[in-house]
Amino acid sequence: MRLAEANAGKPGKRIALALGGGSARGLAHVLMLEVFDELGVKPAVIAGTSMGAICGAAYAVGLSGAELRARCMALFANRANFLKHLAGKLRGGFSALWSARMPGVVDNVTLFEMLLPEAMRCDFAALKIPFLAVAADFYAIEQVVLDKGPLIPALAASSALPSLTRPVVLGGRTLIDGGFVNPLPYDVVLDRADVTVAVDVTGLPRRRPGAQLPRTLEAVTGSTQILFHSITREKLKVAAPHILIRPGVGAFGAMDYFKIEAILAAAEPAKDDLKYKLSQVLAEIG
Amino acid sequence: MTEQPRLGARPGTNGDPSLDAPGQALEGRKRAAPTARPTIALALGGGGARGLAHILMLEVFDELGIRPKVIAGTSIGALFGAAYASGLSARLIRAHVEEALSQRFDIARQLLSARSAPVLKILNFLPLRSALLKPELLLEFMLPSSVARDFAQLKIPLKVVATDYYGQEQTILTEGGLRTAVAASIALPALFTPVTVNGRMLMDGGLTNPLPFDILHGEGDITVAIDVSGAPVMPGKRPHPSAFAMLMASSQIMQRTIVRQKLKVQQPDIYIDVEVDAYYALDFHRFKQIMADAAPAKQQLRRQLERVLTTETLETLPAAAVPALAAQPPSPGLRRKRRLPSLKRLSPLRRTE
Repeated sequence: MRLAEANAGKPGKRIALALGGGSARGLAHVLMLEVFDELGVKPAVIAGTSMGAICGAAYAVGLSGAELRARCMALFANRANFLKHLAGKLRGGFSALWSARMPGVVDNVTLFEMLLPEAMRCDFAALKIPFLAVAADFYAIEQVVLDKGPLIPALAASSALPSLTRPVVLGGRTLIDGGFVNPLPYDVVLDRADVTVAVDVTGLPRRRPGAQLPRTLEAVTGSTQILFHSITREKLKVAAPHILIRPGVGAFGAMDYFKIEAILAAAEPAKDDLKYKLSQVLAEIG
Repeated sequence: MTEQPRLGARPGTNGDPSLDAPGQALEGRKRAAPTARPTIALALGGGGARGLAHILMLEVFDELGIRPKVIAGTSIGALFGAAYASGLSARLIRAHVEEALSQRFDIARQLLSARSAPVLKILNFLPLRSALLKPELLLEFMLPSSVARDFAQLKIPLKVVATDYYGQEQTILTEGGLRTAVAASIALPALFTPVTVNGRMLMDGGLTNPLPFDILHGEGDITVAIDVSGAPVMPGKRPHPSAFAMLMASSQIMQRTIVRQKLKVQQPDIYIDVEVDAYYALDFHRFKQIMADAAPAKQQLRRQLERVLTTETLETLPAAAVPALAAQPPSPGLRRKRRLPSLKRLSPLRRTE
């Protein structure tokens, strides 16, 4: 219905892209961004939560999907390589990154400044595609959409997983991972384009072969995933995106960054799926 | 189905045939015997120790001499819902819980206490274990022995919300063993062992439906929802919350987000947000403080119920109500009038969106 309306009123076709949170599973976003390159369309606006924010911001800065893939592959090819990269950039020792006295040991801002491409140390205003990062205000229990100021702190806030990474204080607000209020932020861009594409990389609890009950930590992450799903399910009752893609990466864990090749391989069918659906949509209104 | 003689009967309910025949199908109830009062569907939310506040809310029903037509409960809400639906008075439930928490609960209390935070320590040392406690253990402590064993023995129909772990969806339990159902509903991940019912592995209902008013849609004239999900509280001196506080709060934030999303689709007629934010889910040892903090919410529920009941009895349902009339939904005008206080009450929540 929205498509028809868009068709009638406007000559262009504006596509909004929402990339969800899912830590290592979010590497699948790289393939979805490649689709846009391959079809030669540019999203009118990108919204991202957590890992979705990082990938979305990299694309908004001007990196192509292929470049992003190459960087991720280089970074996560193996652990030794990753640590070497990290150590090479580390000034002031590991204490800049870790502190046992803080809530959550890792300082995301420092980490991101070391790991993310130089070009991403910029301001929202410098981005080539309008971009929104979703974070959660810890005390107000509400969603905060970041679209101004320096990019890196916003990304750090959007992916500040409580108790693992430090909360980020921005503008007097204590911000944590946006996934806790909006794991799939398609709703914040629903009204800003004609077609909204949402990529959901939330994991699914998988039964270990032969196991009756999940292990303790498995149960903790599994139940968090259920909560993410419950939030998204309730949101879909209010309004749905036009294209919803769920790359088959549910079986991967949040910290499986070094399984990048397997993750990208598992997301390959979803890439084809998005490419097909998006080209259909473009043909419809184009 | 005969009445269980052990159940603590409340004065004024024995003579009512509709209450003494729990085996009767729900359809029978829907065509309800003519009554001058609107029926009430009660949803009790999850929130661990904060849910002790539910006892006060149940007291309101006893004090007003009304009983809900149906109760839905998640987690701690299912636990107290089960006790109340068994026919126990709120006063009796309160006395039992207070006694249990002050004396018999010592060992479990220390284990559960968030203050001494042993949970995380144990988690760190035993990452391979499935969980620490059987949820039935908490039930044995918290529930009087006179609570029904089976859904069929209940005096008020009860819907217990649990979460199917591998199916990632809510499961509503309405028959079979009551204790198993409640155990599933309170099975907080990592702390309690999941409960297997019909081959499905069930866990805390709060993961999918922390405030189950939506599953009562159309079951009563008035839906009452009691929210004890709480909110993280700004620490006094520290610039940041502690890692433990953040871990506890993050699932709270998600549950609250789920409730807010649900409220966008539909609203209960009466929504009570019990202000017990300062307590952790495992603060069972702070019974007295929680009860004191929840007292204003009790008065609020009482006022709102009283208002709704008087309006309804005066306007739509005169003493000589015919069955057809009783079955009709209240007039739109009245519904709007009734909604007003609850929407107003919702505003602090909605303001932020």
